[in-house]
Amino acid sequence: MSDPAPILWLIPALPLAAAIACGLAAFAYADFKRYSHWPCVVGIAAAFLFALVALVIVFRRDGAAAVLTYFPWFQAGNVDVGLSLRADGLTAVMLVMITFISTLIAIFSIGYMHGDPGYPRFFAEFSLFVFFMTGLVLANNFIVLYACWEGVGLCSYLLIGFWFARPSAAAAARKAFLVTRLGDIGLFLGILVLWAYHPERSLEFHQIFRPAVIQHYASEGVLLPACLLIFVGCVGKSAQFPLHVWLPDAMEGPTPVSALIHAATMVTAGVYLVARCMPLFGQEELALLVVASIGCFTALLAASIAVTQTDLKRVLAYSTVSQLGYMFLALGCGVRSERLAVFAVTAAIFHLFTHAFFKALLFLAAGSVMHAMGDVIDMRRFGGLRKVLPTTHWTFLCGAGALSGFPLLSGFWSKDDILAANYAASHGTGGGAYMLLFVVAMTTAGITAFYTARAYFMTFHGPQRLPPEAHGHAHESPPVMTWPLMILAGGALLVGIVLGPTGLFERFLERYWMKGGFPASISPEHAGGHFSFVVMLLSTVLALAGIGLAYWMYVKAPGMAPLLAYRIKGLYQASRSKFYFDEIYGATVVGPANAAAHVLRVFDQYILDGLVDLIGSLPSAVGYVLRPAQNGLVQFYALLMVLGLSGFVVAVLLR
Amino acid sequence: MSPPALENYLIVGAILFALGLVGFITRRNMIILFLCAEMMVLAVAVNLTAFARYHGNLGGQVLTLFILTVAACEAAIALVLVLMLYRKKHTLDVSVWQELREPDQEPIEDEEPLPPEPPPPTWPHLPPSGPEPEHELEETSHV
Amino acid sequence: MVFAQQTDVSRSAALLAFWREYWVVLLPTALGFLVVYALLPRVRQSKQAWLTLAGALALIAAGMLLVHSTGIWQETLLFYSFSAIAIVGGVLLVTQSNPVYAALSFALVVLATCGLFLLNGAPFLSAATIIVYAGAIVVTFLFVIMLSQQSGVDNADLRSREPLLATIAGFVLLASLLGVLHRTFDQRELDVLAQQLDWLAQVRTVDEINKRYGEPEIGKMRLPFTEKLRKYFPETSDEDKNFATRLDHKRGRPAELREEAKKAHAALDELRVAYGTVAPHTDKPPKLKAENVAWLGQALFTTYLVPVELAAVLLLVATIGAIAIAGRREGTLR
Repeated sequence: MSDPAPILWLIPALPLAAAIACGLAAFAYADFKRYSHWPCVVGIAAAFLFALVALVIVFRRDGAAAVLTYFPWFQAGNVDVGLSLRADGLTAVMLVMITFISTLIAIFSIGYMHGDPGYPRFFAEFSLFVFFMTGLVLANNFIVLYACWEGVGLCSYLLIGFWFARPSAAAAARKAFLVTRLGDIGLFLGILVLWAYHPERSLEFHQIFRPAVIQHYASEGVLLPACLLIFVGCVGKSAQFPLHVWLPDAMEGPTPVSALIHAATMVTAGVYLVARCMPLFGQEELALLVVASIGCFTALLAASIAVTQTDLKRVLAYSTVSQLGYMFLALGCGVRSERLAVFAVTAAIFHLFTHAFFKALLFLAAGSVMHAMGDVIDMRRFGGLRKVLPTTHWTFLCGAGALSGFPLLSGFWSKDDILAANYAASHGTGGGAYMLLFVVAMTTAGITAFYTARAYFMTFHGPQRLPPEAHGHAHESPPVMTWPLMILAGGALLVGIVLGPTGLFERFLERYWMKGGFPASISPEHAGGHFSFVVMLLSTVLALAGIGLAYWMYVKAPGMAPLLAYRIKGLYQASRSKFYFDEIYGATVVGPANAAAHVLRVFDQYILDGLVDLIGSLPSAVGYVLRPAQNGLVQFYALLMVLGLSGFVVAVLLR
Repeated sequence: MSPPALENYLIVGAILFALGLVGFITRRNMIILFLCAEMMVLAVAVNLTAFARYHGNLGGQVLTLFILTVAACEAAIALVLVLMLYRKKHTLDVSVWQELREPDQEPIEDEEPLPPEPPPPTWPHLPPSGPEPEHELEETSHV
Repeated sequence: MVFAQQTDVSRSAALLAFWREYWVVLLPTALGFLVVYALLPRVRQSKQAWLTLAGALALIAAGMLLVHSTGIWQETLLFYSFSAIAIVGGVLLVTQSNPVYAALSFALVVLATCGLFLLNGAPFLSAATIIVYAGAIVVTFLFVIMLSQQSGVDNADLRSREPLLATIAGFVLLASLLGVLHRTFDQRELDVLAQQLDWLAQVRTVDEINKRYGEPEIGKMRLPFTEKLRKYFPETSDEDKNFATRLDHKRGRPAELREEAKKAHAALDELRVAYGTVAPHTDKPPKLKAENVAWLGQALFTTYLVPVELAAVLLLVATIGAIAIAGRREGTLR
């Protein structure tokens, strides 16, 4: 067919149309509201099909990105922004992943959200989110990207606060929005820096990521600040330290929301952005080190908090934060050589890809558990569910295994690539820091395995306990919920082994993205898999050790866990209370802001309003002064007339 | 022969007009009020006849005639209105009509008290006239 | 700029000049203000006798200062007496507490004013005014007073509404009117100047000039009266109009001086005409016809026919209106 690239706009447009249709369905009769999931599912599934078409397009163009400018969006002076979309390898991969997982989660939501009064609203917001997310990965200039960045933030707010009547949900939504806002400021400043120093004042990716332009930035000395500012945006959106505090609270939203937004898609936008800006980051070793360090530290921090959490979804949330840290760690390891850079970036994207599958799976399984347990998710209140929920149990096991890095599952391959890249980066000059990061990453891998297995064992093993909210009839979820679980489990098992060690993923990205989009300094020669058997062996050992420890502590000797907790009470308490981050932020940031707001409110209410009221009362005061002239006596009126006349006459005569 | 002095009559007219104006604003009896207004009209008539003389044509006098006519009509209507007002409040005081004041203004009352009434003069008591009444012919000295 | 002076000196000097120019107006007006204000009806009345004396004084002052006499002593005498009676009657109308006295003094005002009408050559008007005003209106009002206010002097008659402010307003207006009239018609200066120019138009020798105006000295070459002339003919760029300068220059040459004086006199006459006396200053001022009634009738029924008809309609409407309003009673027509 002739250049089918113009169909790119359909990929975001179809979910948008679905969002509008679902939104309108909210005003329909109650009978029809039951069917309001259809536009959403159909729209996103169609977007998935078109994403596959986009994949085909990328294949056919053989590395040249398809850039399409649809219409000029706004032009003001130097700024000329058009709505331009881009399709290259990275975009295609992200699109396929996003739309596929969104479709599955949408199907799951049909069963999960059944009977909820806000049913149409859920699907409207869901589709809107998919629109913004696909727009984000399709964007070809920073303004469209920023707009979609904010858009996904908005949808995250709407969906976290879906049950807005619950104060904790509303507070969590606000917190998520405001904390990511802090990151967005950095991102916007970074975009402005890039724009201000661009020779042609362009914001298009293919204009910015040219070697000459990047040299110009570096010579002006703005490359490092721009990279760091952009990374601040990623820290906010991808919940890295120090802006990670919103993600665990975001579990107040419905579980499909957690699965989609806070596991697979939105939080990965930060990783996507850094990957997209790799031509900039790749020139600045310090920026890469910062990225890697923050990622690694976040991974450790989140893992150590997840160890003691009792809420299953919280465990998974911290696990997400931790895995995102791994992705950033990988992105930051692209130092020393072009081959390593290619390998590191592809490792990060690969982990993003597999993580989407198994984390979404884990969240959906947790949702299935919640659905069966009557919305109870505290792991201490139920146990031994493997006989009650067989399908959920097996799919959860697949996801947990993938997450903990069990050999040959998908998580194993992607995490292994990351560790290998880190290990490779730690060789050579300046690699000391990376060696430290490597050690921490390995430790975190072990902790990851531990807490994942702990969650699995606490939920599905041990004596069977059902909470009273289950009303005695806990049963497996309906097929509309279990089929997506099974599909995702298949993905979690197979995606890794199919795409990882065969180098398919890496070669795809390298050929269809980096060739066109990377500066020539990184020559995309075939990097090949960086198999490091040592690392692979080490990580396997750690994973199995973690799983074994969890098995022993929670299945074989259940009394061990509380005893250990008592022994290291301080550390345990700190971990349990999320290392007091919320309290620290509350005291240092939220408290002063509240006080300032209070002061300003008083100022506004009494001084500004008082001033305005004063001015408003002037006519009234003047009227009060003048009113005694209207005393009803005709002669008095005549007198005033004559006084005025004589004054006037005298004034005229004396001029 | 110097021309007749127009300005003298204008001065008289001005003085009468000013006096009428002061009276109109000051006096409280409705009739006197109206008479002062008539005096203002009269002052204007003086001016007009003076101008007629100095122009040597009758335009001023004709206008004075019309003013006279209008003043007569005005007097008639004004009297009727005064009568209507008198019927409501039984006084010719124009200050009792204060209904057009602002709602939150107090009505203006007379504050200064009147001077005390002079005591009625004591007339000497005279006997009633007529024939001399009967009185006893006793010790009355006719000396 | 009627009252504005042409000097630009300090404010006190300007004030002094103002006073010097207008004291003839301000003095009688101030006196009259005090008299009227004191005489206005008040609960505690002041001494009337002294005030009457002061009022007489004010009237005499006005008569002497303001009024310009004409040549005819009969007209002047009649004018003084009629206007004095009218003004006294006016003051009585305004200040009398008893409404009947006030109405009667109004009748007096009307009579005096009709005398003034007669002086102005309007006999028909004077008769008509007496009949309509003094005859009909005043009598009707007297009836109304006597029927409605049978106690004589009411509480309201003893008080006045805002005496001070009203008197100030009225007399300020009066002062401005009189000031305008004074300024407009005060041609004494013009008369003096005309006299000087007349003399100059007939001068023969330089010696006469020097005898009258003093020896010319260095720095005092100008004729003394040309300062005043400059006030009326300020210097312009048009050489021909600078009368004062030209007169000064031609001081030593009598023949040219005569020419200049004649020209200046003509200009002065024009100025006098333009100054406010609207009637053109010709040798034969227009006079009213002696057969006043006939010519008034002709004017009314030819030139002013439509207004007459309208006035008739107005009278009819007023009559009907008066009956209609007065006839409205609660209940039947009694």
